[in-house]
Amino acid sequence: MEMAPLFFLLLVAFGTAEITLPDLPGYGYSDLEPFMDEATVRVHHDGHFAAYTNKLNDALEEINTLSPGTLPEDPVDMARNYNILVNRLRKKVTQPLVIKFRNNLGGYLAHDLFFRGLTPAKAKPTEYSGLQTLGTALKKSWGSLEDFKEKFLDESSKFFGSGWVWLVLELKSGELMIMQTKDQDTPYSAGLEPIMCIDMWEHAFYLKHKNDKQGWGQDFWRLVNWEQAELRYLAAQEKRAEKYPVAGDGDL
Amino acid sequence: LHCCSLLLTSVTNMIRQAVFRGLNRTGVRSASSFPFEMPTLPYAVDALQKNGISDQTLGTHHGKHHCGYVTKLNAALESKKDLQAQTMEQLITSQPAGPIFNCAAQTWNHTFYWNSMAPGGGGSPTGKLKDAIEAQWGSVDKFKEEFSARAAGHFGSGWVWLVQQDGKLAIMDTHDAGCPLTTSGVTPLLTCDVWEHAYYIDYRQDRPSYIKSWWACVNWDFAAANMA
Repeated sequence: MEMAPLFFLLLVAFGTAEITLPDLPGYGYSDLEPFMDEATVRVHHDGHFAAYTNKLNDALEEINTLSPGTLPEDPVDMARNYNILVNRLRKKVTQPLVIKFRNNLGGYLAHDLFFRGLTPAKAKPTEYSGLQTLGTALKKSWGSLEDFKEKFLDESSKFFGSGWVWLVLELKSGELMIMQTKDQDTPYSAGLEPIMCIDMWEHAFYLKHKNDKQGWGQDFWRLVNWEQAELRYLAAQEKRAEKYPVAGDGDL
Repeated sequence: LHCCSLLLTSVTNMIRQAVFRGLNRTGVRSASSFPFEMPTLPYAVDALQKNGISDQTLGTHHGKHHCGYVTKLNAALESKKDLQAQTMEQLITSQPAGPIFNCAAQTWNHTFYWNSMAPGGGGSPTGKLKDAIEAQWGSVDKFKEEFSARAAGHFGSGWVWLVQQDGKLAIMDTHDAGCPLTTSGVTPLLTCDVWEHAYYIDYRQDRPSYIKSWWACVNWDFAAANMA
């Protein structure tokens, strides 16, 4: 019996390859010291991020079996189209599975962005090296980089419960915004593209900072990879042009 | 001699229950309002260490988080003359979602949590409480299994509660600062804090192991005293 076509059929029917846990991008567990302690990097990446990745794969396997072909391949697209997708899945999957999908999709995406958005402090020649177009846009929106920093860290310092604070680009308006999401929700489904983010779940900072959210914010800022943020901003602009080709905003 | 021992036990239980009721739920003097006193821990900071909740955890949890909520609450009420006469419970039931509700509810929740544990805790419930648990779940073990599953499964910050509602026992979970006082007809009996700060020092992300420790500390007397 010819196994190859059967295997291919099964692959197509039951979804594609598993999502793998991304390695730390270009830095080791201790390279973010002293701003992020090694123990936290380890448990955050190998414990929490890994668990979200595993549970996302479990959820996707179940969903792709119950409703083959409904979900796109890319988790970012799943998040961008979350509401439509869940609506399509409604009759075929249970509410607990939808919740599992939501929480772990968000957990996976948010942590991926978070770790890719960090870099060792010693790798940064200046505090904001890497900022170009985004730097101009931040100054336009907040007056200065220091004002932007103050607003962002104010939002994170008063955060209550578990969740994230994001710098996002609103696709429709082209505006940069600081906003928060609860638990593991990401801004994608609201038409907002993430530029950079800070994890405000206690596991992100508890070992070093306990309940000192201000201290965490200050340490986090030393590690922000502004080159990555710049790239994300440019990509978001492209996405915007793609989605809203006749944009009224003539600034960029 | 047997009669004396029985009498002694029931008198001790009566005193214990009276003490818990008198303690009142906020751990501060009855009917107090702004400015609220700092809450107290009902036992030494290392009292639960032998059962897996360390002195570092209790010290930070009580000293920074719990006391921090009272400090913030008092600061927020400084400029709100119209709220200054309200007790903690009144603030919890009257205030909409926001910083004042969060601080009041978290103050109350944490006091209830300290009392839900005891250095001599653990073991099994007895009497009326045991009967009520068995009536609802079949056995104490089944109840503990379900409570543990709810505690482990709560996503994000929150609390898991054993409550009494319509004469029956039930398990409830609340998110972030959620407090059962805001649902009418619900009497809380016990709570387990599942915010990460409750267990991260001792267990990192291993919440199930923390829950096992919580069971080793659980204060059944407090639960029984809270029953309506």
